[in-house]
Amino acid sequence: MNCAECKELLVADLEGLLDNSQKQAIREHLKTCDACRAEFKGLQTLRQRLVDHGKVLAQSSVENEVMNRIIREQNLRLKSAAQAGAGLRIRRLIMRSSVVKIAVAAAVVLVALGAWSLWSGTESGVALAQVLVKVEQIQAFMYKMTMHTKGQMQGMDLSSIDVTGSVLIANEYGMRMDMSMTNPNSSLDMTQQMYMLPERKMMMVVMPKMKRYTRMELDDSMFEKMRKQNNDPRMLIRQILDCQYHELGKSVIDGIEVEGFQTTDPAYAGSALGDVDVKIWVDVKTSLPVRMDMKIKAGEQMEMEGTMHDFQWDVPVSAAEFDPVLPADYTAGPGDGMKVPAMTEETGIEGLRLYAAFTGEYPAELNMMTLMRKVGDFRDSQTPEGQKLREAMDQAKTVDEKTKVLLEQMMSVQMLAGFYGTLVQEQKEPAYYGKLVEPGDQALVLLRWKTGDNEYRVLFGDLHAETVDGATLATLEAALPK
Amino acid sequence: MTETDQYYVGRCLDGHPDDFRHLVRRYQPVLLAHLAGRLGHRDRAEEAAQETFVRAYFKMDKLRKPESFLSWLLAIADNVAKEQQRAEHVRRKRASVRVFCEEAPQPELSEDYGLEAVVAGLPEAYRTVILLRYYGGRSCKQIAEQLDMPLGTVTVTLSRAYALLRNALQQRQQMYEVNR
Repeated sequence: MNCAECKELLVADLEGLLDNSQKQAIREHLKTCDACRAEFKGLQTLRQRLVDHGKVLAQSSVENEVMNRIIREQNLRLKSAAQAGAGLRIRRLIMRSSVVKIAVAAAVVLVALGAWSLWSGTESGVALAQVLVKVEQIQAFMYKMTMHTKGQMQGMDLSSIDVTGSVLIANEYGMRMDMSMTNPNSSLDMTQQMYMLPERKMMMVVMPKMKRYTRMELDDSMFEKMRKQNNDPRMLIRQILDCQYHELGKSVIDGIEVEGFQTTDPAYAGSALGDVDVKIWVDVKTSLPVRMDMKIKAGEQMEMEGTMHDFQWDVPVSAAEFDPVLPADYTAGPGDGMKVPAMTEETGIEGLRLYAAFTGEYPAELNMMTLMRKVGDFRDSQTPEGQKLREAMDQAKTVDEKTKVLLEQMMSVQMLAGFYGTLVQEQKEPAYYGKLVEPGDQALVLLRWKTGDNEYRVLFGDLHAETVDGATLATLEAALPK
Repeated sequence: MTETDQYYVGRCLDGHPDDFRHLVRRYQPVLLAHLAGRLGHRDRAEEAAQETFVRAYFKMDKLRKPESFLSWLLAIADNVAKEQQRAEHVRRKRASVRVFCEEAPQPELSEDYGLEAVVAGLPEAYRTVILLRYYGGRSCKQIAEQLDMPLGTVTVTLSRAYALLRNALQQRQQMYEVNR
């Protein structure tokens, strides 16, 4: 070994990276070469000096001060409304508001549509026929709503969110909701306009405070359904005649004589909402709704309480009210351009597959609230699917891209609830056995619904589908564990 | 402490602020060494390190490449150091007006200020390797992984960094003796 070779290896030697023969060669050379020995000594001394100094610095700790300051400052920033957004814009905080938005929006839409259903079964002083005649004459109406949500999704604090807003529905144009959401405990303070625009086959959310908007393309069939539901309440009345309800008798609201009805039927709004308790009060004279109170509960963790009131019938509307204005400085939000999948069998299967991949089991129930709560945990899932999601999140460069990844994931699972809700609404006699069936089970019925006379569609635990007759279905269902 | 910087950055962004602790723990000696070299004052370096971490935390959503957390952190530290020096400069100027004849206080040197100063003066590529190796407690192999370079390059960079450090230290020594 010559000096040049030796010098090249000295650092690697000090770092313990050489094999025995190389070490030996260096030792041999150092024995005979003063210059290299001096070099080695010099390096050793410097290295020791660095090591010692590193140890000294490692003793002083700024950790606790830093963490205390961060927590103090985070709280301060969150408290001060003016500084909202000045704190670390936590990915999930953003997602949280999107989730809330979608959760609230979805629930509101369903409730709003479901509201019609209660008109159906009235056999009291308020006659169904009267209601239908009235409603047919109405071209546009609006109402106000106030809503309060309480609860928690894993990692997403939904505690105490107040929603107030007004809803305008016009046969000709679609639906528009102006909402504001606040949470006194956090920085959440947002206003949004949500549009359902059948002509444009689009759902659009505009958030003026954040200067953002999100456009979502809705499937044709879905819009067709919505259009029917929005424009022809008779559809819904027929659909939800099955809803069990009871009369609450007469009462007076705002000086108006009303008659009340209540349902706690889980089939309400297509079973998509969890436990419900809905009361509707109808004007005895006009047969039009005056007020609606609802309580929705999904498990122990999430509750929603709201009122729809101040109904105004036959309000004048203009096209401009359904033409969202987007100032030039508004930017598209993370969900913009997403396509809401049609509520078909495939959507249902994909939702079930995804849920099982993340959790290793099927959801116990297929209602929107329960599923949404669970979706919050997906990111922490220790499954390959969870790992994949985290990788996709890491690859997404911006917060928006990351949020979009999550939204896409959530959409599939939410649409599962939508699919099931559709089956209920369309009275296809769906039955779901998620509590009894495990992913991969080839022989057990997971979900079934009616597709014709003596004809059923069956999804099995391994998510293959078959069409069977009633007798076969009965045998299949008898095989389910008790 | 085996998780990557990216992992902890992600955790913070997911609303687990406490996981920032791991990054603080991992990089505080690195940051202190870097800032002590810049500021020549141990207490001030600690102050600046705190400020750097806090700023980094609240800016984390703007960190484009979580895998370059350290170089991003050091860039923030450089800004903090500059601001501190400017503030210090102003403070001294004011003080010197008030107390006309009082001399500006000498920087309080830490145990091995000379070493900190020359490390801080190294070109970035060398500085990063030195900081990670001796103040970040990383092995050469770990550095190679973190900086995504071959192990050989790490040792070559280290060798070169040693040479630069020794040169710089010698120069300081000479200047010190001349000034005496």
